[in-house]
Amino acid sequence: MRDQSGYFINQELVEEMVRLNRQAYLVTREMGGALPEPLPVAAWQDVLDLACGPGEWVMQIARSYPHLRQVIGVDKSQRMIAYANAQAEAEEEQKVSFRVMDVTQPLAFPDHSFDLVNGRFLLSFMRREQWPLLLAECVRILRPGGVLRLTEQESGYTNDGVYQRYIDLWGDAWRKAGHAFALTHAYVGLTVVLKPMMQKAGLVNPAHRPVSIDLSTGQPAHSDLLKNLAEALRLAEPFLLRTGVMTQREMAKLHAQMESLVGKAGFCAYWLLQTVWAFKPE
Amino acid sequence: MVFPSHLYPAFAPLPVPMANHLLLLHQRQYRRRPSRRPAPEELMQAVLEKIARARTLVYDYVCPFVIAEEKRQQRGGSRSFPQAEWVLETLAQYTPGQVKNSVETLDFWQKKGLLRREKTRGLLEITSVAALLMARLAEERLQRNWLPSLLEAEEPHWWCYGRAAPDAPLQAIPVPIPPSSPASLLLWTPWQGAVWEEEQWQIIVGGDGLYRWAASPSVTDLLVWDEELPAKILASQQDPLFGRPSVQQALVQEARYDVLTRVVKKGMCS
Repeated sequence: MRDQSGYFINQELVEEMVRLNRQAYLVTREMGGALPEPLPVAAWQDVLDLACGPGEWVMQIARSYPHLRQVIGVDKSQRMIAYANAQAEAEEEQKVSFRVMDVTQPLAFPDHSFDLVNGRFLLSFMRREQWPLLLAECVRILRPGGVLRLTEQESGYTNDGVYQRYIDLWGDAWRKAGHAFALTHAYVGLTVVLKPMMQKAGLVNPAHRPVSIDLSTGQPAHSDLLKNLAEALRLAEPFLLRTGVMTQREMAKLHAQMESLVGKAGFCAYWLLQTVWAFKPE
Repeated sequence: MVFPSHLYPAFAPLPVPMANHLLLLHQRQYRRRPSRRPAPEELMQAVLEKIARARTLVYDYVCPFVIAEEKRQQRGGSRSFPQAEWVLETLAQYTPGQVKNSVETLDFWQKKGLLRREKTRGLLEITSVAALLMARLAEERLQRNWLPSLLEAEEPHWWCYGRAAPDAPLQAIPVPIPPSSPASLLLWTPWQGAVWEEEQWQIIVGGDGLYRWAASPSVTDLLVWDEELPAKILASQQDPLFGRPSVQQALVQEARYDVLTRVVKKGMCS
């Protein structure tokens, strides 16, 4: 189960494809849709989703905005793209397509190709030093007036010791792997630097929208998303062991404890996301 | 140790020797620590849980490919899924060292009865592939010997649950369904991919799997399960308005589905 993709979990695994698909569905629902921000979508025609995984967001946006001409998803994993293409074909979404592409490298699209470039949870494979190239590439392929929209995660907070360990573990892991921007493991810090990085890349009028997903017992996202996060812990074991944040035994214990949180009375937790977007000057 | 026959439907769509082999492998983990070996029921439960997890994953993963294939065929394309390469690559992800088997290995498995191909076109049978993937997902530690050595030709492909009447005992029914089964034998399975190969399997809202009748029960046959609906249809047969054969046929079809739904909702499939 060695990860060969640079991503924190081996994306070629059946579990990961299915997990990402479910997670994407839940996150989109909790965020209030594929594009809940006040953006000029009516004027757009071409949309790109970076590191699209199984393509849930791409399918959602194609369904939600039938006027769009094309929605393209790109991902490094060939099998993930095959899975995404199968889903598009199963749902007969003609305007949707998926391509194999590594977004840490120059993007294989001509200048001014898209009205919207979207990305979600790029933290999971982007190291700090890789951001300037990606942002420059996004600016290059955006049309004047086009939008770069990125949704990233922060650690969140909780009243539960087990979930707090889970949060701390990821904070440490992202920091040790060179993905986090914060100087402490208390948070990831990517959402803090997105606006300045976008501005430095030449984008203007940055804005943000925080989203807080309630994982507490009894809430709609509680059971499915908590199980999903626990599964991520199990699947990310090789990555987490490499970063040295925990031993295998500690991880197995934490995984079992995470699963036991499902339905636990009094459990409260919030998973914090933030969408940041900015415009390419006209 | 082998699974008792009443548990055969619980590991659908695995054939019995594959499930027994997984049980054997699980049991072997305790060879050097016999004092820590759990009771047989616990060992079986652990393997059934692994299989159930693998079943859900394999279904969720394979489903879009199957539907996409159906759509392609509706547009006049020929069937190609599952391709041997796709199967081998998926299996490799779960093999230690990500070692990929060759196409010859698939041929060898076919000779040993572990993998089936359609008789007409020689394509891999989707349920058989799903069983293979499930077995691999449930046992990731071994590079070799994760499958039993042989499946006899007469071995049923897999098993589902069956019940002949509301108060009849639960049975394990082999798939393909024996033609001698009574038409009103109620069948169900947790394997949602059953519908890929047999369209009679149906999703029922409120149910937890797929359901069907063994064949095409008559209205009189359905009285065993539900006196109300079939009685209404029997009465309507006297009415000249409903007497035409095509109307009668449609009413019987509807009754089969309605009774199935009512039976599932009454919790008779457990």
